[in-house]
Amino acid sequence: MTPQAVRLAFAGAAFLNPELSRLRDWVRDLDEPGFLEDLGTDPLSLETDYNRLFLSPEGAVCPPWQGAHTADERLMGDSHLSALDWYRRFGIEPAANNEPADHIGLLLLFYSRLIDSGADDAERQVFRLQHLDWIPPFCAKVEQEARHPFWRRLARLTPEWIHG
Amino acid sequence: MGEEVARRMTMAITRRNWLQLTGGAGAGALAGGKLLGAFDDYFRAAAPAAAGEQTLITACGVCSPACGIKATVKDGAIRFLEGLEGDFSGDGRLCGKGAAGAQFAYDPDRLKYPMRRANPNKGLDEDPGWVRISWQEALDTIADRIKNALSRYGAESLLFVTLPAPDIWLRFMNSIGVINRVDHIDDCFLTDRIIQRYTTGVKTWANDFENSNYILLFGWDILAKTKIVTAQGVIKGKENGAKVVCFNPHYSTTARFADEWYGIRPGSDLAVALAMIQVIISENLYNQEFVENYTNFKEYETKIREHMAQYTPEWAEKESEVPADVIRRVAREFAAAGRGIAPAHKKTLCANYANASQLSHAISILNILAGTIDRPGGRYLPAAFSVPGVDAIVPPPAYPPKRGRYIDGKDKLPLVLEDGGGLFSTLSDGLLNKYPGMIKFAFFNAYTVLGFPNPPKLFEALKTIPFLVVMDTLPTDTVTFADIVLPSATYLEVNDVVVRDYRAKKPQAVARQALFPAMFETRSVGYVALELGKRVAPDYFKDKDGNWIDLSAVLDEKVKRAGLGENFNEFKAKGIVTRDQPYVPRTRFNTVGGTGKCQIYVPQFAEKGADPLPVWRPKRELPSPEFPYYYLTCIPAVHRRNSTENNAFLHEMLPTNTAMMNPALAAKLGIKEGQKVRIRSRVGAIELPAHLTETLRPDCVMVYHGFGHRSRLLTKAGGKGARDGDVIPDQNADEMVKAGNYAGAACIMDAVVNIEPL
Repeated sequence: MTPQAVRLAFAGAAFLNPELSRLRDWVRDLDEPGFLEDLGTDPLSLETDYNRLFLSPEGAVCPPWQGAHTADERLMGDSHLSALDWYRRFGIEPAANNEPADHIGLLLLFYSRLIDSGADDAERQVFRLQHLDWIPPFCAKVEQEARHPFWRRLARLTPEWIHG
Repeated sequence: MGEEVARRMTMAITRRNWLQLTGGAGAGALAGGKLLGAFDDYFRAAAPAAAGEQTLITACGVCSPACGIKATVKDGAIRFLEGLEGDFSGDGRLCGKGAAGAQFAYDPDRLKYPMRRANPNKGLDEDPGWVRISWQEALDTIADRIKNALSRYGAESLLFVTLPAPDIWLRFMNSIGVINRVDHIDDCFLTDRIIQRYTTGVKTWANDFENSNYILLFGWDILAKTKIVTAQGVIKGKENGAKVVCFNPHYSTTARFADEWYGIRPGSDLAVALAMIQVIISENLYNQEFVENYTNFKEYETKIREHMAQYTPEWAEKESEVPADVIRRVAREFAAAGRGIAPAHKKTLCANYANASQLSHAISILNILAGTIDRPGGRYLPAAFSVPGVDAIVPPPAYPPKRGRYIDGKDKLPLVLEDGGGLFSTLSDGLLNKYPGMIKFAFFNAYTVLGFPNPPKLFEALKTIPFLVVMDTLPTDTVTFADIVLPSATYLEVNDVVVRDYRAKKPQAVARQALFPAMFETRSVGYVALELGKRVAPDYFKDKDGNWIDLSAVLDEKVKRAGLGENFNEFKAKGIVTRDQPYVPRTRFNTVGGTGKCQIYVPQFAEKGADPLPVWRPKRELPSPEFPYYYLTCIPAVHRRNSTENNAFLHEMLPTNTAMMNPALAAKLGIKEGQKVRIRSRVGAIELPAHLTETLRPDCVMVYHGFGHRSRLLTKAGGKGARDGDVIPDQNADEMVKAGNYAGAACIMDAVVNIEPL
């Protein structure tokens, strides 16, 4: 994998999974200083902050689906169907058939493969325009709201990684 | 499969002659090898191309008439919802709430996974520290808590705040002897349900407005704040020549549509209804054929005539400010019309004062005197498919006897106790004062604190409950106090048989079918019932062969026994089933007491400490120097109770509430449009911007219910507006007995307030 693809895959996986042991494994694939220290040793604080940001049953601070940040303000709308189209054109689809396909993590994982598979610039640019534009402001909000240093650092770096 | 994903994408790209790949070797050999594994968890090979757009029939679940829906679904995602032709409820239409229904499933704020709190400290300012758990862990934990409470403290220590539905959920509660189940019905139609059982036989929702020729509305803003089936009925009735007369302190949508409107003094509808009965009886204007053959009028004639004589129109004018000559004329017209109807319903501006029991009784008598009970143009008993419940299909062992103390004090109100409904309005008192510490476990299902009078008091009361489970579709303020949160499936994600009972001259049923797999890890409360049942009371959840109850097999059997098809799939394929049969008005009425007649005088009420004939009682709270104004609350047209304010479409139509008041009152108090005001009652205060409107009496202030969701993280509704309930006093059962509130009204319209500009 190219360094950019590794980074984007890391961001995608991390936005989908707050489990400390798995994040540790993934961090080792990454040539980025600081993340391992940020992860720390307390799985609970990592997870509760993730849940507060993205999944809280009291209302999440930063819902991690593109549809929540477009004019639709809903899940399973146009950005979900569009993401699904992209995945299927490449012969894959999300493993869960009852969750939106435009989760930031899925989009980043897919984009990492798109880069690594040698898709041409135009193709990548179209995907970025359709599905990644919302991520910088989203990440700015996450960086501002996160209490755990790992999520703050991830939110700070993700837009840079998308940029290349 | 990380490699598999890479390979497939590679193939796809090479097939299209794109750039040569860089990857493709074994994943372990690559930089990022472990990360490639992450793809396995989240992507798989695509299934064969999914169907394009499909049209599916289902039933709405926003409110009870459950209008038929034609849904356009693409790839498991709803693209459009519209009404279903031929459906008795919606008649091919959906209301705004129904049409916006997809947003309930697709709300980004939706509860998605079971969670438990890691921080044991509860409070509005505590971070609960939510941790995601499996359903298995959630159910095991809840079951252990229930078993523990049952063995140490008995069934009285369990509180279920939920409707008694679906049937498998009721079976679960019965199987463990739950006696403390409360629901919002006392905010709603409890009084009418009790009164109809004794006066006409059974609570009916069916009002034959379209064939009526005189529609008398006490409070109910039937066009704007109700179901489209009733609104359309009134519109058709008027098109067919019916006269519509409306008493309401608010010049509502219906008032504008009506032939006559009277801005009645709040809480005095009872006086007008009593005086109308007096006019009809003293002038012998009632439908003699019906009254003599199908009611107990003859048996109690002297008592009835003597009792009603005191309620003259002149007396009623003093209470209600409706002119005596109007009351007299309208009474005569109503009786003479032949097909008159006076519906009673929930959350009308008439039905939820302390005198609601008497008012519901008086309204029932007006319908009986008109002779239209189960007759054209009147309140009728729906012809409905008979769908057996789970207990008929898989008979349970005998349920344990219900023992213990009632947290809501309903044992003080015999009519409420036998009805089985539980009281919202007395729950805080029970938890804090009457039986503090008795409740060890509580389960809120699809109810939030916002629906109660005096929510701040209930917040305090919830702190006394050691373990609280909340099951819902959206984050509610109640979640803040939960130990475990269970995400609920919406009506768009479940299968069921829906039977028509609002407009049902002949039987009709609609298949409610899941339009897509339940999202995330949401489940139905039926699933929870079965899984908790297996763990807590297994004998009640097995069939005769000792196998666990299979809910989809039970649904198939329901369909079959109701005559709707061989199984649910076959019924679903039809979507809607109507059986042609003639409408035959009944000649026996199944009232309590077994006389087969409608009861004007209700002897059983006298035996139960209630009024056998409606007696004038004022509303609970009257204006005073400290609290000089009436406080009115109702639900706006575009929202349903307190559950739709976060829906982006509905939010756009009405994002918040205001303090609505007459410009004359505002001028007197020095209040300008948009200026913030404080509304204060004896229990609390809210602050809202004023909205000046000529449509209200100058002695009232009106606030829409459903706003003031505290959780600021609700994307749309969070922090918007104020909770109407904060100024509405809760009550205790003794106060209700003293007030003659024997059928248990929550008195949500009963507050009086002070208003000050800020």
